[in-house]
Amino acid sequence: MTPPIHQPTYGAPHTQPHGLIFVVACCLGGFVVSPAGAETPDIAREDEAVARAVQIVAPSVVKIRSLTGPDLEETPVRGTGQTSGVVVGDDGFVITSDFGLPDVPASVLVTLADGTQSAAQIISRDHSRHLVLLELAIDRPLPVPTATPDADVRVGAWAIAVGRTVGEEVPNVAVGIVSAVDRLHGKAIQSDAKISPLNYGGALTDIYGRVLGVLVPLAPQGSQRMAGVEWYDSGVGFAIPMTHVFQIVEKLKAGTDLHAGILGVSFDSRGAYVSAPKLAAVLPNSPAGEAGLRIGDVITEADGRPVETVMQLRNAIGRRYAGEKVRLVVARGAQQLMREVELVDRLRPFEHAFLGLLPIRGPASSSDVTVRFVYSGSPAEQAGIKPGDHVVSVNNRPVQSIGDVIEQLNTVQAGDEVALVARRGELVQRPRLMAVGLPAGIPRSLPPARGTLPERTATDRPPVGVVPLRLPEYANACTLYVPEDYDARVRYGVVLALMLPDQLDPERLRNLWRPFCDATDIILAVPQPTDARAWRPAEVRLVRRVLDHVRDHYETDPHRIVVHGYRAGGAMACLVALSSREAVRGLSIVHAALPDSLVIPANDPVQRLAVLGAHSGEGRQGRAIAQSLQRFRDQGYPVSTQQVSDPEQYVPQEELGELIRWIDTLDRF
Amino acid sequence: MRIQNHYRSGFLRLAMGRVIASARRAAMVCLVVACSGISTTDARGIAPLTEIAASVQPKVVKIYGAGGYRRLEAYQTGLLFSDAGHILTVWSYVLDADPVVVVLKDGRRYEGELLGVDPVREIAVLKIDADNVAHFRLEDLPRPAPGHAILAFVNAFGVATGNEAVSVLQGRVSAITRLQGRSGAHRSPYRGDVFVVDAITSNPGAAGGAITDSQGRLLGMVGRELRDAANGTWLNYALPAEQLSQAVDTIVQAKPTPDTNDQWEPENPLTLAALGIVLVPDIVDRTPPFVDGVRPGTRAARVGILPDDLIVFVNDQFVRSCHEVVQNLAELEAEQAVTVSVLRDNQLVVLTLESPSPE
Repeated sequence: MTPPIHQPTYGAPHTQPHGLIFVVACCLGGFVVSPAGAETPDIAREDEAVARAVQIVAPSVVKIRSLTGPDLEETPVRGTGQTSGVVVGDDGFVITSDFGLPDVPASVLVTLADGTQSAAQIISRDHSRHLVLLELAIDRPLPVPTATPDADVRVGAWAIAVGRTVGEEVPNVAVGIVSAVDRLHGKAIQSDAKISPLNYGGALTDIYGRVLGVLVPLAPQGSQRMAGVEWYDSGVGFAIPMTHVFQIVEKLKAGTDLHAGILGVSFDSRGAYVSAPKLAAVLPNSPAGEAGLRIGDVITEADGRPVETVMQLRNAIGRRYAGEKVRLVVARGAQQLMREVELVDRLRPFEHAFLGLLPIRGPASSSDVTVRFVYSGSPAEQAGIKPGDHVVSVNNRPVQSIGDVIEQLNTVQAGDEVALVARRGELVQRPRLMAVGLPAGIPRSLPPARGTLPERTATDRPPVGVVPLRLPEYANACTLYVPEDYDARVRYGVVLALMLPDQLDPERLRNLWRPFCDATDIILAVPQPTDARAWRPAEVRLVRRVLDHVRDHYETDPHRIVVHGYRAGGAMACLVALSSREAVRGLSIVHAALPDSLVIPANDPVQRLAVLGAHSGEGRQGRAIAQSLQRFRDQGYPVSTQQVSDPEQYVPQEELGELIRWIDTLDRF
Repeated sequence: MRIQNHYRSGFLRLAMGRVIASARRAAMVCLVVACSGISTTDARGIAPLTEIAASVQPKVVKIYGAGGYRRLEAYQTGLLFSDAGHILTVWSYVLDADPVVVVLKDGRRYEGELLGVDPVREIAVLKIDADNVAHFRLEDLPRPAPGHAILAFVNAFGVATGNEAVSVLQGRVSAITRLQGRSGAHRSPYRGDVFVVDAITSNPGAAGGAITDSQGRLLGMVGRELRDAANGTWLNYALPAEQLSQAVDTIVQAKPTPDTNDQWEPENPLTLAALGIVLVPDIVDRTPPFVDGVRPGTRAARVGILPDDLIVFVNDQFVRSCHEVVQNLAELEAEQAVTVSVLRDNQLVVLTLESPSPE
């Protein structure tokens, strides 16, 4: 088929009159002789070309209606079961997007180009590309369109979005160009044609009537179901290449659902576009873990392509499916390792390993891990470890501080075997412990965390006692309480207490906490919201700033940074904790349920977070709080609970003591 | 085209020879030249877009009136359709002002008098005291097809003021379809055909603007901002010029024209009971029309409708809910035959219920 040729309109008939005739004719005017004519598109021929391309692809574009099934009510733009599709198999298979086809298998009705109706079944889904395969109950062959070969998908070329969502006999049409290829980690073609619910599921077609791709609602970021729909008609729209669809169609026909592939590693989230892909964590039960990758390894190549940044690696892996194999080249020190890993579709939530020990909190300069307390019934107790023992190595790695121990334990999970070496005087023990999960229970009493220190020699200290804090950039008031005997040789835990002044007076809170702060080395910070009636989410930055200030001016213990929210401050505390994972290690909420919209990320091996919820356990609020806490448990976090019967009252003295002990045990291992 | 330098000896003699030989060709050339008129067009009579835009702009006006509070803009667009200054625009709150100010492309200001409205199509006709103004013709209207290029002339966001021309957008006809629009909870009263275009015309102030084909002939008028009733997206649509023409008849000539949604009402409407079908209880907003039972000895029983069948079509009308089934049947006479398509075990079964046999 010869493509329509776009010819510049220099006007004039092609027969060139000679000489005098020509000169005469020009003088009478009427010919577009200047190059200006070439700038105006030849509209009539474009109309013809578009119409011809649409005519070629139209028989393969179908209308799809889903009949039963819930309407998705979340956003103003909703899927109500009317969408388009493209034939992919002459034996009755149609591909469409997941827009308008809810999870619950719905009865689906398909109208073909010639008006025939047919019932259809949902066979399988590609969750990573938002595609759904339908099979029609039809007994005659359907016209399968031609796919544009990859080499012919070029930026700047015509792209015509063809749907049958509103068009009945004639498909509905929107015209633009190919804006980019290999978008969204290589999964999609981008076009500026108006892509919207009018044509999702339909065909993005080239000027020859071949299908470039299937139109799907995708957004530049975010992979939730409806994320892309917010970008409708924006000039940024996406289609999954038809060549790719034909590659996966046999698998989809067999009923296999496809998912995005996961490796099981995490990186330091800062600088994803510039920093090298150096592993900050490797989940033990993941493809990476099973391939023997370790913290500190740097991935240099994925499937033969060099990767220099975290984003480049995400680009390489983002397009792959669970079940596919990826060849990685990893640099470990001077060594170069080659590993082939098989990607999976989901990972078991990570559960930190627990041996049953608490360390003595020595001065910052000490290079020793001495056992302070042994949890009863724990693997350490069963192995005969006692308070006063020195932990020398964990899994054959020497440890000199609790930080070293935690770093080692971050690489194993509950249920794994951990080799310990502990010394008591001359006696050396080498037990192999079966680690369990972090405990939900809080010990009833604890020995002191540190011994008394020798006389302080340094004379100047930062402010102690009740310290009003005024941060220059914020109007909020804030007070700190620093124990009077503050000593820079001791590491202090930090508690950020968030509440509304009417619900709990800051001074009363301070008086309640004071003795505990003195006894267990805690600095208490109580920031106030600018609006006494509510915390605003933007104030997360203020709370963060307060924490940074305390850490800059005082010696703090990184393992005991806690956010404590009471009632209206509870949701705020969750926000702060979840957005400051690299700093916050404990989240304590009293009489506060989580907002349903809050997304709880999976437990991260490196960025530990323990959760303590105090509630009455009864009534609607009690049930809501219990559900919120269960959401944390489902993601692998260690969750403890306290019973506090009166939902209008702050934590009574005895439970407050228990809360303090929970904070005191956050450096457990 | 290169104009060659023929100033050589012997040229004239050669040229004269050619003149006689190419007499026919010369005649053709002159004919073409004559036909193309004074504007610069090519041999097929198609003018460049810049000229089209220039010729259309004077026919589009900027309208200012009530509003200016929060999201209610106090401006919109209109189009002239007579040389005496009649203007078509959307019927909106903007026209609730006294006076309504109309500004032409060249900056001339007039007070617009509201002659009348068509409440179903939501169209208004204004009159300004002007003479010999450029205007669109409402006769000999072209009929575009999906895929054809269009131009939109709209004062989106009120960018154009005074003697500035309104904004021009380029796009194509996406589809010709029935309007299913809503504004908040209200359905738009007009349910006839509209052009959906892929230029973004759904913007503040654009309503009342002109949609033309690539040669500047009027195709339709941009409607007021509406969301699609089915999926909530903003609709880029225009009322077709023939609807405008009918609206003008209603208003200007005070000719009574039937409501576009006027349905012939049956004397004895068909009901589910008459057919013998009992649907599941209609308890939620859109209960799918599953058959709960079929009474023996009725038309439905005779043709083989079974319990658990899901009714999907009534006489080619797609039905999504019990309510729609009842509505569709009520448009038919009780004695009429009706074809019902049902989904049974994932198969589509088409059944025709014949007229009841005479007593």
